[in-house]
Amino acid sequence: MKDLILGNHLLFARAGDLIDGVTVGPEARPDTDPESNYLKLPTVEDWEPKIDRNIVKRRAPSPGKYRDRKSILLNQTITHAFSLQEWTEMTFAELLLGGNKPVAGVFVPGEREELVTGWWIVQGYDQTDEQIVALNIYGEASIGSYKFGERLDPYALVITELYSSISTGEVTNLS
Amino acid sequence: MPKEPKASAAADTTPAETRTAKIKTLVSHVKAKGFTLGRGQTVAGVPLAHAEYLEKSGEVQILEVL
Repeated sequence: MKDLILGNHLLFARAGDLIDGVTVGPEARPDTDPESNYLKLPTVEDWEPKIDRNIVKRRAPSPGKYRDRKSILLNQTITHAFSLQEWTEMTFAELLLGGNKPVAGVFVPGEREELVTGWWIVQGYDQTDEQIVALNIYGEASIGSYKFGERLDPYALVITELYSSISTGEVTNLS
Repeated sequence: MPKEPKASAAADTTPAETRTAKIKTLVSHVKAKGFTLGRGQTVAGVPLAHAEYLEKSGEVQILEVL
């Protein structure tokens, strides 16, 4: 048991990229060596994981009333909402403005037909800099609206997990 | 005395460590070529020694040796 203040790292490897002859995809996750396999997203302020489930309650009559007998899970969606402080070419041009990956800085806003998808590494460190959690998840990212102005609010990047048989999670330093 | 030709023997004497294989994964979470792979993935360019090790442990099938 531990009181936790988590500081998070978020890294990304894009689906479709070719690394040493292997294409990154839902069933092909690149290692972190070399570090250049992943793009580090700058300065994560906070992280909010969430699971949404649709559940059907099966009920049966017991004396006097129907009562819950079991719950059947129909589907679930796992999302991870991050607040990021700094913009990158990917988060600005592709996620906020909906363009494809800029070529020499040039892109067409709204041209993107698929969400930015790939492997995401989420690492969480506690206040003593001990690693608490490490996730390797395959998912697609989106950013809603953002208001540019005098206030330097963080922006929300939401990753929705997609199925992969090789997604993993590891928790450490918690008993 | 004429020297024996060497060219024909070159292909057969390629050191095993420089040869590569094309593999197909039979299970999930196979580590090869800097990737973690799911079941049913085909990857070329895996060092032969590593491919043979993975095949012995039942994780992959070697499709082709290059």
